[in-house]
Amino acid sequence: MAVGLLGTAVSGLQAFQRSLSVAGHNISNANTEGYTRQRVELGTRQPSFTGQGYIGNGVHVEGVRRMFDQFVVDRLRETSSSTSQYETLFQFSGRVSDILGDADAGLSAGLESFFDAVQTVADDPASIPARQLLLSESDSLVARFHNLDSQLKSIGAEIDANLGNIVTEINGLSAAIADTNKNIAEATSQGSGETPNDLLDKRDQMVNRLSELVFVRTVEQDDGALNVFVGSGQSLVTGFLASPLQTVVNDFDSSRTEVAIVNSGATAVISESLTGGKLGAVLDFRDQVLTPAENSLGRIAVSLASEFNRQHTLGMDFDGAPGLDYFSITSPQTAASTGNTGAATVSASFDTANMASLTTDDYVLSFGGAAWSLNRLSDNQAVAMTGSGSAADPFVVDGLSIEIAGGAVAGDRFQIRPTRSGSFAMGLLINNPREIAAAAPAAAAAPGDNSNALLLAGLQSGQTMENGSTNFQGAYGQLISKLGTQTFSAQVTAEAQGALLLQAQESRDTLSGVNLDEEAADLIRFQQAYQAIAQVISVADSTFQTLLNAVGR
Amino acid sequence: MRIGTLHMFRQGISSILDQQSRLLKTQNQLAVGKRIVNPSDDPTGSAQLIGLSETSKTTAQFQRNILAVRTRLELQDGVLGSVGDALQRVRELTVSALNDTNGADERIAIAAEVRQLANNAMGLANHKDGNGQYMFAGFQVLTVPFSETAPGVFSYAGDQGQRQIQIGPARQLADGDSGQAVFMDIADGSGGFEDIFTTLENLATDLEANAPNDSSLDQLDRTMDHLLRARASAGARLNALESQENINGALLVQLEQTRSTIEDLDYAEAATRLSQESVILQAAQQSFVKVQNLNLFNFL
Repeated sequence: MAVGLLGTAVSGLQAFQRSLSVAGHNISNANTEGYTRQRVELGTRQPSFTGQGYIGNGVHVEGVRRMFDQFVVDRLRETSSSTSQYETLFQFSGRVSDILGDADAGLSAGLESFFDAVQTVADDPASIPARQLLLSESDSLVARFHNLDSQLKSIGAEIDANLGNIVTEINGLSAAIADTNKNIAEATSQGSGETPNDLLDKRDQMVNRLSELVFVRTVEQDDGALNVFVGSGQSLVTGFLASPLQTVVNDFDSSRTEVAIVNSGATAVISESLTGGKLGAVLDFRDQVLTPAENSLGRIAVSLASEFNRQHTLGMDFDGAPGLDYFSITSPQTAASTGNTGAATVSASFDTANMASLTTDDYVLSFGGAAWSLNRLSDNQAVAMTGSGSAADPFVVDGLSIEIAGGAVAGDRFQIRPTRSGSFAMGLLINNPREIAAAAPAAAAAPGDNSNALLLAGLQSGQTMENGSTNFQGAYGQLISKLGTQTFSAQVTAEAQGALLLQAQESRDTLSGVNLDEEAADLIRFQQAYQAIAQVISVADSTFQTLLNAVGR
Repeated sequence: MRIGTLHMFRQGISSILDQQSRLLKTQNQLAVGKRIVNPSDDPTGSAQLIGLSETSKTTAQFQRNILAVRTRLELQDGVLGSVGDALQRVRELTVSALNDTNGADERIAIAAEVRQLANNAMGLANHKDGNGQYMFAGFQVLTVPFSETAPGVFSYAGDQGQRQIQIGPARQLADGDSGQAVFMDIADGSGGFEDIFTTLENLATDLEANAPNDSSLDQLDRTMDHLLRARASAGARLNALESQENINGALLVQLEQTRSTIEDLDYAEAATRLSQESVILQAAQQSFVKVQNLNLFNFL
């Protein structure tokens, strides 16, 4: 009987020691990010049968439970993925809209000074200083286009570097997750079904960090290993094996970095299907903010140069010679896919009569075996072309004229980027002030004639862009407004996602977080129980002594 | 509901950080005096500002153009006024010369003065403006427009160009008149034209020959009328210039008001907001410290 009591007491001592030590573990990890609160699960021991019935044998530790809910953790991951996505998008978009929207350094002020200088020549066409002023303002305008474009380009370079860093970080995490999978599977089998709680926390924390980089989905296997999927279901971690991501060069553009996944030796580009997190943000930013901004700026450069040249060549200069081209314009960029097998080459030029229909889109021209088709890169929509693509009858579409030479093979693809290098390649062709064609053509030089200068100045308000709906500065205003909206909506979404993230963290912590007050209360509770059970031992001892004394007498 | 201790901390910090960034934004707005600091503060407003800035810069340029046109028209008026004075003197001389009390000698003396006045007129017709350009040469502003190529033969080397200057979005105005229009194309009363210099030359020649002619007085009157008409037309343009200047000025004021409404900060509102936000931040900080001090361990 007394031995039974002692046994019961010892079981209690052990159970409350465990409980105290787990409470201590919880308190120690109260500030560990990703730590999941643990709780000792107690149960009664198997009772002993006596003639008088079942007598209890004390308490035993059934296990150490991890207070965890997969649903809550998944929600936390999802929201942390979108929070980091929109925060990154907001940061980058904000930079682009601040660069272009700056009242002093943006294009707007440059266009105003340029056209003011044209007016000055119109006021006094025979004045060489006025003409010189126009040349230097033209030079500044060109420099401004170059400067804005190079700032956008340097953000582009930063994006590429960022892609590389994020990919390296993702690879590190997926390798570590694969390793931890192995440790967890081994620990689970050794622990005969008991879970290695702290290892699970460690792995969950790594998946959380991965979610901040890119949106992932996870599936837990029976052996405790966690499979991680990315994009449209490409597996990043399968069991104990991680498939690395890699940066590769774009098919059409060697200056553009794409993200690929290497699965059993095969490399597949998955940039387009990657969403969420920093990686998704960086890719989205490049496709939806940076490239369109560069194209829009380029389109203003190309339209302005083309319109100004058209009017300038209609005039006559100071010495009576016909006006020359004023600005240099570069042709649209064309690039063949590295996967092409045919010998065809594509060249594109601007359809100067229809510059107003020029868009900010990039296009893919592909050969289907019999016919060519053109698709917008942004939304993959087909665009109808007229013409046959020959030199005599080129394809004509959206202010472009496209010519194909040589034989193509079905599946061959070409990318056309009409205005990408528009701002960068813009240049000033005139350097002699006398060559400014301010006069209308006449039989003899007419230094005082400002007729053509007036028409050149009139180009400022000419509705020559967006299908004749706006002027150069209006198109720039639209760009700023679009960038501002993109930035604003990224900011608002980031704030909303941040609030959701806080909620998700709250509901996770409600279940899994350590509460120090609760642990303090538990400490008291377990300490008191421990003291009480120690009293039981003392009672058992004195009972036994009483018996010994009685017998010994 | 149980709350994680870490979450309490996180929540407290996050509301402090939120409030700080709001305060910083307001402070920044107050520092630059603008409601729109970045385009994302008001995307539509930012695009409007670009349009407003363009219109107001262009309008300011029109005002400068108006100034240039006015200077030239006023200069032209002054020059033509001097020519008119010279002609008036010629007319007085001619009237007195026609009086039969004058003999050949007197008429030769008068002719000399007429020639002198004709030279003055030629000088005035070849007048240069402030930029050193000939005012009455049409577009040939660098070429001396009037010269006597042979005794009594006058030629005009300019053209009929008349420079239009943009003074409003849809308004152009000539900043002068060509020498052809002012001094050459003067009706001679019989369907043809005679230039001012030939008229004066004929007058002088007739006087020197002691044969003054009534008809030369008629031509002189026609010439003076012609000049007066030229001055009147320039005067009308000066009036038009003034009314356009007023229109532009009113537009500039209105544009500035619109810009200010879109871009400028309402200081009273922003200052109130700043103090509100400071109070909230302070409350968040104080409550954070209070809440963080609440802990059961303090009582163990």
